[in-house]
Amino acid sequence: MAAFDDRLEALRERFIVRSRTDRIMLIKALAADDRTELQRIAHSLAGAGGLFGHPEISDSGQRLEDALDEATTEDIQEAARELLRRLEALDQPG
Amino acid sequence: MTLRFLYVDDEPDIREIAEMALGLDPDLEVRTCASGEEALTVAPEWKPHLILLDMMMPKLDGPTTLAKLRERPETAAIPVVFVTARAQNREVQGLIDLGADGVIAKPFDPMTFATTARNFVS
Repeated sequence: MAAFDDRLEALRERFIVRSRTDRIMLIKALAADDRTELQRIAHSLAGAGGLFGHPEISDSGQRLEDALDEATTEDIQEAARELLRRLEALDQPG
Repeated sequence: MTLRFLYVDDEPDIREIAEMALGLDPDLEVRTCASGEEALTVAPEWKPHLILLDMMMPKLDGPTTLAKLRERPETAAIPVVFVTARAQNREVQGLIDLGADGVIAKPFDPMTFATTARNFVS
């Protein structure tokens, strides 16, 4: 089980490193109002966040996916900004 | 009896954690595929007891992969379960209507994933 926990920890660290790229892609997609790319990012993070110890990222990814399905541009932007803030928080100490 | 489970997802880290989680059950033999196309090649020769399928993948997405598996006699009867972040009621029903045998919500709990997946194999 120790080996399992070690591998899981390594995957969690990798998720945080990769989240920096996700942030950049999210900012670009938001600026371009590229909804296909927003959908891809939201879906990927909705699935991955909780798996790697960050359920709040999954929640925000899910919220953005839902907004892309049904909501106004304003709601989409607000959901995307919330996801962005939570991704930024992954890099904050503590 | 050893059961063969095939996990299909385009994201390498999610494939790795799924393989680790399913590997907690010593009676499961696990293979992973990075795409729907790869799954269509592996499934007929490996004959898994269960296919766990991601929904959104580039080129061949999950529903299209499922349709192709169902078209082919050698894979038509293999149970297919979607593992997806889109697991709300209406989406689950849509996937069942497409011929899926079930849906597991992503993120899944790595500690119980194998047990949850086993429930779809009779």
